[in-house]
Amino acid sequence: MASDAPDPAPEPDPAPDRSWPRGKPFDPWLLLAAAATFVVLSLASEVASRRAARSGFWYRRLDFAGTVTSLPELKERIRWAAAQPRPAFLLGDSVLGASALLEHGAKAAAARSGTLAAFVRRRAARDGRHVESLAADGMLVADLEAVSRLTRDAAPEPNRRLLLLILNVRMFASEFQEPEKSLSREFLAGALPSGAVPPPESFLERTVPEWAVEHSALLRASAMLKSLWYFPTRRDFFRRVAERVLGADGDPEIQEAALRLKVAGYYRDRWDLSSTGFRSLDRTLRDLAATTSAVVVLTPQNPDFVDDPEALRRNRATLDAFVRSRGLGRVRYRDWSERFPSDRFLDHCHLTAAGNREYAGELLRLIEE
Amino acid sequence: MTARRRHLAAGAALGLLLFLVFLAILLFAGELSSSKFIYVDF
Repeated sequence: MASDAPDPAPEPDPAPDRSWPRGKPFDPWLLLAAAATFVVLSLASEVASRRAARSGFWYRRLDFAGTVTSLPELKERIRWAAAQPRPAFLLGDSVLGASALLEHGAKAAAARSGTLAAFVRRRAARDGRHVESLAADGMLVADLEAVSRLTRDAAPEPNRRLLLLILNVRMFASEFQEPEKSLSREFLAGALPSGAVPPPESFLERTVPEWAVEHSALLRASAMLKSLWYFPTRRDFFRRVAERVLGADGDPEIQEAALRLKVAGYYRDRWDLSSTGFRSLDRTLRDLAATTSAVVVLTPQNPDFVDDPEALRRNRATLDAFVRSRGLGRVRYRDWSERFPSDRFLDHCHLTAAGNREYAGELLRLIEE
Repeated sequence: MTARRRHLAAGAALGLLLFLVFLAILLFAGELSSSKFIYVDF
């Protein structure tokens, strides 16, 4: 039966439920307490990180050799190391670090303790000398110039510092002489004289992190600590993990053949004295000769990888004449490119742990001469 | 324990949790030191 009664008036919407969680009254003190705790803990970590950096807490306990994460971190490390007894700085590329040993199957701890930098550091410590490695994978001559200038600026008495500059044949290869490719890490451009390399483009994705690490010791510390497990890069870390689970990717013989192909040019290219690398070396040597005791070494090369011995001999003579013509002052130069037989090498220029031990001994003898 | 104290304690726990997440992000994610060019030959 149809009803004639009018539709009931719609009920007003119920008042929104402001309680949180359901059924309990919302208390803004909860959010306030959460925010205050977060801010207090962040500030406390920032203060602790600043004190740790200033006192060398990280550098004394952990081995950061082989990585540089930012300009402020590098300056901090140099400032701390310069205040140590009889400070010496090692500058170079992956020849000094653990990456090649890791790549050839060494465990992380064994790789880190079997590097050239580690052997030099341990042996020098017996004689009361502190050696700090500022070397990092892939560094080129312009990088070395930047780091050398930082050591000069940070050390209160430049005359006290000793620099070991380990040059590698690959640093002078033509592919790295284009100004845009002559620096391995863009942040180091800030330590070079203006015009030495093209200034890095100013992208937000680069400038914001740079600003952040400059102003926060916590960010600097976390970037350094991260380099301990993501060594030398995060991608390498995940590749190593994948290889452990899935097995090595590719035939080692094919990998070696690919490497030989890749590096063959290093030993064939004719070195160009007007290139960015040589201009950087020129400024570095002039600066060192005036202020610092330094040892410059052309690092050993595996004779098995040298495709064109005549080209390498010519290039070595060019470098030798270039260095000596700069008026060496307190700088000593040694060409050790033919120093070791091929059985001491892992590849074209990285030595085995036993080779590194021998190399370190010879470097130290050279320093103490 | 009053309701407000309970909420303050819960807030402090939440803040601690957020801070730990922040630390984990700093230590395990992100590339603050990104390098455009690293030439390595192994």
